[in-house]
Amino acid sequence: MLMKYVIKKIITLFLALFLISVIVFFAFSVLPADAAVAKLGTDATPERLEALREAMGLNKSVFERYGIWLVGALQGDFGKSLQYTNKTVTSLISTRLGNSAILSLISFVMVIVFSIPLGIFSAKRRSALGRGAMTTVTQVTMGIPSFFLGVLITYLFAILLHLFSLGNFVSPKKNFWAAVGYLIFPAIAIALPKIAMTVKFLTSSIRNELHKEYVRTAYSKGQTRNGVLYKHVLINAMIPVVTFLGVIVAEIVAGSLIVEQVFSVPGIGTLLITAITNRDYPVVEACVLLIAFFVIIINFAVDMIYKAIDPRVTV
Amino acid sequence: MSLLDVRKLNVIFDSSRGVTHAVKDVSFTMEEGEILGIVGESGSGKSATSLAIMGLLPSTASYYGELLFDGHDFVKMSFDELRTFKGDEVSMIFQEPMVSLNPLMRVGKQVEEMLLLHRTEEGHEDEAKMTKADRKAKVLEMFELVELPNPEVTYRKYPHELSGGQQQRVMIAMALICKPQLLIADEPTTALDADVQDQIIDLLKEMNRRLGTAIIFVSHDLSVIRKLCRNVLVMYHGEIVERGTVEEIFENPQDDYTKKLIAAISDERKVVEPNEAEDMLVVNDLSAWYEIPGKKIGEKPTKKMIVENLSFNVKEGEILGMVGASGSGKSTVSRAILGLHKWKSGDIIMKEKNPQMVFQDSSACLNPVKKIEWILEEPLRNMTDMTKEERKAKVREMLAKVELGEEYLKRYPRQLSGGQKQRVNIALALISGSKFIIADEPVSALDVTIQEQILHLLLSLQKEFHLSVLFISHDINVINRICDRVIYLKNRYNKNPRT
Amino acid sequence: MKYLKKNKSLLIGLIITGIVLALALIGLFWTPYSTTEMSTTYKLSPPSAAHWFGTDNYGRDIFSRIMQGMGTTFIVSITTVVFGMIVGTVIGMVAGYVGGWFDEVIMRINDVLNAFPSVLLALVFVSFMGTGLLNIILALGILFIPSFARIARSEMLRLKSLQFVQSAQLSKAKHARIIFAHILPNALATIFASAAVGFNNAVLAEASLSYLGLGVQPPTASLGRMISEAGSYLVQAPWFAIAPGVAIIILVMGITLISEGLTKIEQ
Repeated sequence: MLMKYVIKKIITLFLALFLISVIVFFAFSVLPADAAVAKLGTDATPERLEALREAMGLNKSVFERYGIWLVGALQGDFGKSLQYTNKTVTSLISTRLGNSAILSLISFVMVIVFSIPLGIFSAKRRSALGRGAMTTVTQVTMGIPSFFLGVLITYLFAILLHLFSLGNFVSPKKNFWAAVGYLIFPAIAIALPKIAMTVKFLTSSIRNELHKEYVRTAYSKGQTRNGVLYKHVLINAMIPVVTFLGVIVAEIVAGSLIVEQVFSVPGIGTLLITAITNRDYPVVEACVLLIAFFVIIINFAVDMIYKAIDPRVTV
Repeated sequence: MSLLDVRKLNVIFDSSRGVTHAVKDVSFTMEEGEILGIVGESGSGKSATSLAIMGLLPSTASYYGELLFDGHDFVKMSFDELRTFKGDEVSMIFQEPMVSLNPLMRVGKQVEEMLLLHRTEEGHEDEAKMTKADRKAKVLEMFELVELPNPEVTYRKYPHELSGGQQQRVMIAMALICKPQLLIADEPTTALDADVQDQIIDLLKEMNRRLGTAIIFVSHDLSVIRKLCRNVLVMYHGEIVERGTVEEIFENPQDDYTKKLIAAISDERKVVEPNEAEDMLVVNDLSAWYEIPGKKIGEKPTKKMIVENLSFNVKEGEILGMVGASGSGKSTVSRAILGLHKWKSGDIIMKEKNPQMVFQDSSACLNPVKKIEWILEEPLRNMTDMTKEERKAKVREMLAKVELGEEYLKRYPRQLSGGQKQRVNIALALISGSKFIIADEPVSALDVTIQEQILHLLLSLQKEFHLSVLFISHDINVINRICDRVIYLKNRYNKNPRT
Repeated sequence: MKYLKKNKSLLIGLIITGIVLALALIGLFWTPYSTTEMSTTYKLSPPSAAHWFGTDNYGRDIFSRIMQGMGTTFIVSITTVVFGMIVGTVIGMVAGYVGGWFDEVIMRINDVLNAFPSVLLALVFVSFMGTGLLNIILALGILFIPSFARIARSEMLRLKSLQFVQSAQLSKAKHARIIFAHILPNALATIFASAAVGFNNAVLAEASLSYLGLGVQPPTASLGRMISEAGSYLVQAPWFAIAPGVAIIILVMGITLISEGLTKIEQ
């Protein structure tokens, strides 16, 4: 049963990736301004443009080009970048992937470490004042765009407190801890709004559970308030949170795309944004597929965790 | 000294919708080993009373008075003082065992939790500190006692893997494992099927006999109370209106409300006149099923049969009763006749082109966002060429027929009581001039006094318009009172309905 | 009115949003200073009575540019949410009502789109449709269709099994009438509640795009771009970055409070 489910999921995964690659590829090939123009500028002579198109394979039909690309992609070859001459897409990505992965990981750890205790703390508030205060703090935090938070953090920690200096990123291969030390600051900018979202979600999930009848049963057994909360309510409240955390992971990845820009971290985000502005579509395509792949894998993992903790769900 | 001595108990709910005095100066006593029934309709304060004893009222409620248990006043106790009594000396079971058990915890563990809370500290009077193995053995012993099948296997199951009856047995095992002196059972059989109801009642009787546990049995159903209890309290609007032994109450009821309750479960039968009219509805060899889509692509859907080869007829001007337990396919049959069920075979021949339906009262039987006038006009808008004025006049006429004033036209369904909603439902079914109506449990969600009025209304309108009615109910008393003939649906396959 | 006094979040939300909306609307037609005219004498001057939030690196009045930026944000957010809401609701309602393969196909597409962070999708859309007001609106609007479709569909599934729908079928109402006259009004509260969330997402997405330089193009002011431009002047002129950032937060806060107040009414 489980095996069948896994296989079905993997097929869906590849189908989704294939669909996305088709959409992205064809969207770029119907662009009014083609890649050759983007590379040489609009005042290039028609002869030079034609020569470049020839060299880039742009005068083949779009289906042919997709076929060539797909064959390469299946072997891990995503073609050559248009903006960085003579660099393969794969090499561009592989040098940046680690930085983005560390950044996202730190952010996710922050979300878990802070939001679960805070959510419990917030759910325990009984007074209207306590609840109001918690809600206001989470509401404001949720509304801050992560890039603005990045700017504020730069101002506070780099300019006022001199805890780091902007743009001084050291590759983790050279000095791992120095890299982590730098990435903590963008990670805060990414994680803070997500922490607020998770706290709010967990709080309402716990409060929701507290009204359930099994809670009344637990009290009728003579259980303590904390016993009811930790032995009964919390695990039930965590089930929807698991799904929510899956969404949060995807949001963290999206957040890092932008925050990398603020802190000049050489990662997938900065690569993707420059590729988009320079219409470097092989890079865009590869980056989008990479992120899509990651997000789908995360959804899959969430599904599996869900099944593991909830006995009611059958495969 | 009595086991439980309740003196002038008052419970007040203070919510955003206003203050409700749910229990007013209620006093009663009960002795060790006694089984006391509390009967009353929803809102009578019977549940609030039982929750107050356990200190389980929601935070919007406040209560005062005296709750003397073995001489200790529960009202004066702190949460932690009361906690040592809860589960150990007094325990409780609830209406819906499915949601009353923690869905993510194995049932064995949930029962064992009782022992963890009350039998792991030293110095308890009757039992020494229990080890893990002791506790498990005790749980299995309890499972055996409440007749759960295969205790070792059941121990490791989750609530959703058990049937409703088994879940309630687990609840009973849990409630009784510490040998409490008092068990409060709040409508423990209401959510269960009739035959399972009887089993649970027998089990409670047995437990009372073997363990000597006193029981407060709360129910809206006097017939259930009759089977189990010796003494009864009848509650109405937060007060005890009558008290006595079961015999006294049944043979010589004093209060008007009690009389109505008893009338509702009496064996009164309608006097049936012979009906030689033509058939309004003929159902021949009706089968109905659900198709569950195949799991793999290309796999054929599996059929889940609900009703097989059912045949019956309804004559003009006749009320045919259809009785059956939940799951017997009553509602599917009615949906099939109305053309609302896709998967069916067999013949349905009907004289009426626009059969209508009176649904069970629920929050959703009338469109919640529309006013009564809009709702009643809708069939006329779709089925007739009436002008707006004609429609409005017709709506007023129909509303008067179901004895509702014009002020209800501008109200929303949620502003109506259950009985009023049912009146609107009847008006809605009749407004298009249909001569055939299916009434699907039309009174089963209503309190006894209201039930009476709605049935009366239904009967008088049936005579006035010479309607044919298929009346579906699980309640044989109701059926006997208003139907001309009865057919019984047995579970799932209905080859030979008895008539 | 009496009700508003009790429902504080709705009251405060309405006041905040009212002020912001008024400023934004005025900003579309009139601003205290020109939003494009540059001045060398007032470069990066700190907040003062004349320039409430100071001036930017080209000497333009920041307050005036925030007014204009908020106007743009409002236009983009409202049109995208309304677009996504209408299209998504119709698709979701019909898919949920009809069921079968149509529902299956719609929902699979939805799943794929829903799996992606919305900013990433917006980036991809903008990267091949190009920047500019209309393209941004279209890109973000398409983005909102799946989430509304999902909500509308689940509402439909919840509602269509209720008895009043059967009652409507018995009163011979046509399918379209059942979907849109009987069922839809019951789903509106939920749909509007998610519209508020959607509006906030639209504000944040628009700000993010323009921060990355992929949003509304200069010389039209936009809040995200202002923050991005201010990044280089954090040391000399922190207010340059803080003012538009706070403007975004206030905007989002206002709508959040309103939606919270509305949820209270619903309960």
